[in-house]
Formats: sequence, C-alpha cells, structure tokens
Amino acid sequence: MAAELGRDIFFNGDGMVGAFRFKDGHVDFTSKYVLTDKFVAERAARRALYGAYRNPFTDDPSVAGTIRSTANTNVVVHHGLLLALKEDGPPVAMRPDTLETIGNYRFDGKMTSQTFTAHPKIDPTNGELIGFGYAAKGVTTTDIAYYVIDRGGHVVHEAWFNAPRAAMIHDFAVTENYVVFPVSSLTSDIERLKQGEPAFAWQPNVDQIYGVLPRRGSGKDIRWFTVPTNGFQGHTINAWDEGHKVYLDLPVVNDNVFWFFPEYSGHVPDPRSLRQAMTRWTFDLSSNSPVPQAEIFTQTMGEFPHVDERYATRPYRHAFLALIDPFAPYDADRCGPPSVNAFLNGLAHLDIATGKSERWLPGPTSSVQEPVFAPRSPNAPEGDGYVIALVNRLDERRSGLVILDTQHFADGPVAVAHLPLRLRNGLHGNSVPSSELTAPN
Amino acid sequence: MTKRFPDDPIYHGFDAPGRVEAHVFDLDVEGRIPTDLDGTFFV
Ligand SMILES: [Fe+2]
Repeated sequence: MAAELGRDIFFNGDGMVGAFRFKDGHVDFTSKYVLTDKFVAERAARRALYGAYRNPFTDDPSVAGTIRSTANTNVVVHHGLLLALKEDGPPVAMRPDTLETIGNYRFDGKMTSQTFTAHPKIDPTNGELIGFGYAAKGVTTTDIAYYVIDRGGHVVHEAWFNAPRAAMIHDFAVTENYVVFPVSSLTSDIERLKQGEPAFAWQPNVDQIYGVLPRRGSGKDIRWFTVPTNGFQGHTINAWDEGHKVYLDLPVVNDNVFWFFPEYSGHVPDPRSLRQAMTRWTFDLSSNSPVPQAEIFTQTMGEFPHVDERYATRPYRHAFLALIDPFAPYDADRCGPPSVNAFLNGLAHLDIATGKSERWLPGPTSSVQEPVFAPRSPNAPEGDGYVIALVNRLDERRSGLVILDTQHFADGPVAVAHLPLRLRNGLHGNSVPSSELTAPN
Repeated sequence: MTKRFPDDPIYHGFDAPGRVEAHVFDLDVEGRIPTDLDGTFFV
C-alpha cells in the first residue's frame, strides 16, 4: 500500500512470501502476501493507516496500539510452521504448504516481548530456535528479551536485560554455549519519533558494542565488550565457542551503510568511502579486557551470508554470500540507475579456512539476492550441494532463479529457472528439505 | 489503488511495486534441476 506520508523506505514494504518447491527435477513457484494486521486493516480501508517505518506516532489514530509488523524480512520454518519475521513485532505464522497466514504467533502464548528478531538461529544438534527481541517493551526502549524455544515450539528459557544504548540490533549469533548481540551504532529516541524524524540515527563517535550471554544465562550474566573503533555491523555469518573463547564472523563496515538513517546533522557518508572488512572477533571470557581481538579473515566482500545450516552455531568451513565486487561492470545504459542492492553483483562460495572464494558473476545487466544452500543429501560433506539464488534481470525487469553446484561453483548455474514476472528486491530466505516440512498441527 | 506510489527511487525500475501474488506450475528451466534437490526455498 502506498504510504499516506508520501515517502517511505525500502524496509517498510508489506511482506510477501515466495516458495520455490523442488521435486524430481522440477520447480514450482507460489507467492502470497503475509496477511499481517497492518495489511488486513489497510486493505479493508483501501488506504494506508500506518505511517513511517518504526514510527507509531505517524499512524492513523484508528490503529493506535496495534501490531505494526510488515513481516517482510525473513521466513524460517520451525516446528511445522513458517514464521514470517520482522524485528518490530511478533512472528506471523503461516502454513508452509499453502502460504496461508495463521496469525501473530507467540510460541504457546508465552512470549511477552513485543518484538522478535528476523534472524533467529536454529541449533542443528537439538532443533532449538534461539531468538530475542530488542525494544522489547516498545519503540526506543533498551529492553532485550532473549528466548530459547525447543523443537516442539515451547519456550524453555527466557532472560531479560537492558542494552547499553537504545539501538538497532538486527542480527545476532549463537554458539553451542553462548549468544552474541552486536548492538549497532544506529540509535533511536522517542522525542525524534514524535518529531517525525527517521526511526534511527547513526552515531558517528561511539564504540562498537557486543554483548555475550551464556545460552541458558540470566540477564545478570550479560557481558558487554566494546571496540573503540566505530563500525556498521552487518549480518553474522556464523559463530562458535572453544573453551573460554567465543568466535564471531561478520562483515563490519567503517561507516553508516543506511543512508536513510543519517546522523543528527543529516550527514551520510559518500558510498565510495565505505569499506567492508570481514571480521572475526574473539571474545575471551577468561580475560578482564572489554576489547575483543579482531582478525580480518578474507578479502572477499559480500553480504546476506548463509552457511551449511548443519554447521550453524559450530566450527565451520563454508559460507555463501551475495558478492560485492566493486570492479564488476554495471550496464547503466540498459538497466538505468542502480536499484536497491544493485551492488550485490555476484555469488561467492567462501572457504573460511583459507579466506579464498570461488565466484560467479551474472553479468553487467543483473544483480543477485541472498543465496541459500541446500546439501546434496542429508549426509553430504559440509558445503557439498547447491546454492540457490534469485537473479534480478535488471534490463528485462524479470527474475531468474539460479542453481549452482558447489563442486563446480565458478562454472555458473547448472540450472536457471525463468520466472515470467519480476520479484523486486526482498531480504532473506531459507532452504528447507522436504523432510522438515510437516504440516502444522 | 486510490493513491499512487510516490516518485521515489525505491519504487523505480526493478523495484517498481510488484503487487502480484502468483502461482507458476513447473517453471521454464534452462539446464537441469538436480533430481536430488528435494525441498522448498522460502524467500
Ligand atoms: Fe537481515
């Protein structure tokens, strides 16, 4: 629905879920809107009732106090449900087989946080879904609620604590024994919301903050680490622990990536000044130092990472990324000005042990969306299987779905499914084997 | 739609509003979809 306010940001679109179903060498496609409270109310009214991104003060009074989620960020399958996620509200449950919306979902009704992350993690060894909500008691609050949900969908652990600043915490990381919360430098302030300013503002002169909590810890167990150099924390790739040390791999950019959340002064950096460093943080819990060690583990630049999910939360070797190649040509004559995320111009298979990557570029008239990984078989070695990604044919304004075999990744797709339509840039997805797609009770 | 989407780059080109719910049976494929691929890519 077009915003009544006249302007909006990319992150505020109504969520639509797509499903590519693979079977016997064929693939079918279905897409449906998530019937969020917002979507249903606005359809009935035939106009927008909800205003600016993450700003309830801009809403029509008729929807005051309602759930604002657009459920547009990620879709995760757990205990037979497809959960459509947006970090400013509870999950919205859907049927994985039909994409019909069931409704707002609070895990047996037990989740009292107002929010739940779009990036929960699943421990492959026990099926636990581990997640959290920030701004858990309302917009701009520092409250964080942390949840462990067992494979049956029941909340089995909960902890509450406060972040050192009211800031976006978009993603986090989980290991066998710990969880890590990267607290961003994008802060929120209720007075600014009331004035209609953007929901977040980049703070140029603050530390990077990371919180480490034992996986079954209580709020008092949170330990905050700080990095004296500011940075824009990207999506976590993976994390693991060994003894007293917790390791976290993620890209960190030297300045604010989100131009739509400028500094208070209005300043946004020149995009050409942004430098991404794939960073491995080591949090030593036996040390008194609040500063983690940093190591740059690859020169490959990319975002929207996925790992072989069988190795999530554990030591791992393979990662898959939407590649950022600043030197790859872009055909502006045929494609027009770069669209959202047009800088994601290839796919990469990254070897974490060596830092080297294999790459495939779809060419100067295409960009990519987040790649996912499907193992060749349940017992295949780590990273042996298929990488699946949407390719945006920017000149034709149509979408393709590419499938690459990791045994010969750089040769390009073994199959390209042509869609007779355009799937505009979305955010995250997941590949789920048929064996995990049982119908909900 | 009573109200048009504004003239903003987030709605331009490839990112023009989509608004279509779709079902496409058996997508047109170049190459071969591996037969051991058995599952769903949710996006
Ligand atoms: Fe994300």
